[in-house]
Amino acid sequence: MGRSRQIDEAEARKRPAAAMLVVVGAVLLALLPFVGVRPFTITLLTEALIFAIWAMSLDLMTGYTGMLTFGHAAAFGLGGYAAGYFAREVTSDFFTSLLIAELVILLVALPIGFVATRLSGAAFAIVSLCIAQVFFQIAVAWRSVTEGMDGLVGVPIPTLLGMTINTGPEFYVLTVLIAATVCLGLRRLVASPFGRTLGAIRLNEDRAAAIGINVRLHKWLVFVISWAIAGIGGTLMVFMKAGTTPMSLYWIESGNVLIMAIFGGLGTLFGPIIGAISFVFLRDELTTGFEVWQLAFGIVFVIVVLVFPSGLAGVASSAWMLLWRARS
Amino acid sequence: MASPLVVRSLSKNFGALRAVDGVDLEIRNGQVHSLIGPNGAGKTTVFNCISGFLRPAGGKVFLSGLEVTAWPPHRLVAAGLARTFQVTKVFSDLTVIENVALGARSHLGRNLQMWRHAQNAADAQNLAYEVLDMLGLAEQAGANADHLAHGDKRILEIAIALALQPKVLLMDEPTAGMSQGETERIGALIRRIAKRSTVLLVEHDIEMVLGISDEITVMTQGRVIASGTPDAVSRDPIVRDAYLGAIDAGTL
Repeated sequence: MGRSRQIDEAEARKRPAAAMLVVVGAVLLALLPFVGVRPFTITLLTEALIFAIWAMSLDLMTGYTGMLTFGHAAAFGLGGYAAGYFAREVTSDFFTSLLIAELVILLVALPIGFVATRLSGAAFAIVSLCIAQVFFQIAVAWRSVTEGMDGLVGVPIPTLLGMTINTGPEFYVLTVLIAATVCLGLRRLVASPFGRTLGAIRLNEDRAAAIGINVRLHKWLVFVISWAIAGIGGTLMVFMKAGTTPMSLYWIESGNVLIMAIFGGLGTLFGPIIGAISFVFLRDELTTGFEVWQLAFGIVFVIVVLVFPSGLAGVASSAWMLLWRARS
Repeated sequence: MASPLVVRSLSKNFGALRAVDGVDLEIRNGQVHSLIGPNGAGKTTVFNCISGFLRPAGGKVFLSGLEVTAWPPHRLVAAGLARTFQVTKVFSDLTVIENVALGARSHLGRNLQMWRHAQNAADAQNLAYEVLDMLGLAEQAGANADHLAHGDKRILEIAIALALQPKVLLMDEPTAGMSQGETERIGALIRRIAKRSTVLLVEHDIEMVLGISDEITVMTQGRVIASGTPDAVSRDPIVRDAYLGAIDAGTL
């Protein structure tokens, strides 16, 4: 018994260390524009961190709870449209636009999630894909609001407490801060009693129900939280690009975020961040060298997943273990 | 005081098959009550109907007088009913202590807490360690549940259910796949559990059932054919004819 308590205490000591890692990582990232990193790289990093928020939200649903989704673009795209439209029509204030986007997402995700989470496994995955495709069709057809295939344009540069957040370093730092907050918040959530029930649901739904977990309620909550976080990413993206198009809701985008999360390592939260950064930078490298960058990326993806089923995060932890053994 | 668990004319069909046909059960407080019968008699179906995993076609289930027919499993757990599974369903990949702590936190109403760290819920951790101590699994608290020996996994299965501190515990073949010595260990354990919870047991090991039960109900083809003390049941000619005699007439 004494020994097992020690295990708990050792775990407890590791916790603040991991949180510090996030804070230190965020500070280092935020400093990059001021130590001579090229603006183009900063733009790529901004996009990567926005994708990271989105991929972490998918990790909560797919990696932690085991709800495979092929339609996560719906949440990201909806957040973008709602925030972008509101910012253009009413106010360019970033947090007001974000708040409106979140309200819209809640309004939509609560009923859709209530129905979709009645399903499990492949059925849920297919329905999530269908939902996103319906959103895509709506964005194409509802021209009076979405401007159809042309997309929403003219989203203003965001302001924060009256200050303009210019594209470049300023917007990048805001993105770093938000991504770090999301990461810390999600880490906290998955370590909470609620978060632990998600692992139980992923591992065995019947068993989870048999220990008194309301499986449907928990999956519904995860669906809504995951969409809400994806919406933060969507809001940042619509400001970064000063607009959005129906393609942000297309199934290829849903596939991309799933690839980022799997490539980085599901169920780790850090993995999807690494996955999103790798995705954006590899895409940039490969598009300049190859006509068909998806093919090249696909090959890299398959190799990583075959050799390291737990993604790049798995590569990192294996390397760490090797170093650790070599030292002792 | 109402009995902890009462089942009235429970029935369940699978297509044309009437798997359970008008089953009555009354489990008295603090007893070990066993449900026996040949394969396909409908014992596990009765279990699944009581514990909310199947919706009965007819009949009623009462927990301490409260009607709970067709309640979902999580509500039944909150009302004081827990179950174990015939096929081991521990949470593989999690440690032994975390398997049990999940049950403890659930019992303490912490399932929806989203902010504090799970391991800081000291009351739940303590309850989980207490259960592991009682079952002799404390040494393995930090081990991955998947790496346990089969017998220990079966015990962990029971530990998870006990962390829910149930008034009524349904145990579906706890000795499945166990050696003679391990079976005796489980038998003694069930008697100890009965000091706190009322136990309804489905079991194939007749010797153990006769040894530890206060009451036995015998089912064949979806119906109850006899119910009573181990002595009375083992002497019942209908039971001997339909079931026991076929297995091991010599020892009875």
